Amino acid sequence: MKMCQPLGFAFVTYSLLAALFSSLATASIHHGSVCNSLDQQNSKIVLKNSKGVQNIGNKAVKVICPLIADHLDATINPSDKSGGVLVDYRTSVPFSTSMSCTLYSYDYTGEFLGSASFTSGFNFYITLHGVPVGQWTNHSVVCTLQPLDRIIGIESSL
Amino acid sequence: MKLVGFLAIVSGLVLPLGVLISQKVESKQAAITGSGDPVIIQETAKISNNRLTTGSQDDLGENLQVLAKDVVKLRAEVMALRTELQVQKQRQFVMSKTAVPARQEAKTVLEMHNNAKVLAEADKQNKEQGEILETGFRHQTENVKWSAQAKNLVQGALSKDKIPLDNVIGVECRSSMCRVELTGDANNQPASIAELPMAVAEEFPNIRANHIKGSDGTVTTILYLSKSEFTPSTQN
Repeated sequence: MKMCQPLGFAFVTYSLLAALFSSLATASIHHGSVCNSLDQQNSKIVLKNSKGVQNIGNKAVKVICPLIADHLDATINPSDKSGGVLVDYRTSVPFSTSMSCTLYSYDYTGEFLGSASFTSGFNFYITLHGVPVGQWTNHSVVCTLQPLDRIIGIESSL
Repeated sequence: MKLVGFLAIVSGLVLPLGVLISQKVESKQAAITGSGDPVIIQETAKISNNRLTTGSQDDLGENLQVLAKDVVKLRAEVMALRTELQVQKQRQFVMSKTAVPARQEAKTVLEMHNNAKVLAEADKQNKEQGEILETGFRHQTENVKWSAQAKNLVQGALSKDKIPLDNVIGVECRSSMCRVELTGDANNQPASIAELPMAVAEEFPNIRANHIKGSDGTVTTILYLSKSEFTPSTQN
């Protein structure tokens, strides 16, 4: 019975996520190598290759990942209409709670509109949603990678 | 005398018959070699006629070579036309996919940004959003212990974005939300927020901003930081 509880929780979580993303607009998948080091001095320990982006140093680094979003069908002004992002990653220690990411939303003048964060990711993916999405908004994801952590890709339904 | 007369009769009958037969053979040859192609039939007839006079096989070969070259040229032109047609079709497809949606009033994004009607509508929606967020915050009661700790956290996070203390109008926290009011910078630009969300991510994973532009050109930014996601139920 105790064994069934985590399985049941995982099943419910997966179902909810599937329902969430199936109801959203067209999705795009960004390869992890689109991410860059947020700090110039850490760029040498941020390795990008066909497997994504990885922290090959011995300290935590932040990476910023730009997202391309097609807003042609969105309302002109950002409103409660929210989009979702899913970050696929691998940590050096399986199921460690070290991964954290923040999804940003800005308008075309560079004004900050909102953000959504998730810390303590433990299950190989992080979902982020609830930021304003409008026809002229731009978005990015900033994640903190511990040593040897890797981002594989980012699925976006913004 | 009788012999001469006999020979005259035979020649008068046989010779025309021979000519008639040879003409029929020539026309049959022309029909076979021409295969219905008038140019070739004409050429063959010419050659046949010439054979009667000159008999040149080289002329036939030359003419056929000329024909072969013409056919090659024609085939190349048809291929080029087909390619051009395909390119045109592809251009039409691309144009149709990138066409501006009909419901947009202006033709380009730049025109939309400068369109007074569009901007007025955007301002109206901004104002309504702000009112919803403000109402949601005001509905919360204060948890004294939590609000003090939260306020310290937020004030520390503001320094991450190098926002001067003079630009902070107020920081107020209730039971699960904080409200931060900021003035614009020296150029009346809204406060620049980038590091703050990450600094408070664990306590406030959800942040919304409302930028209020005054009639005097000043701008005030109000940040709403929340432990839970912004939904109509939590905002009200």
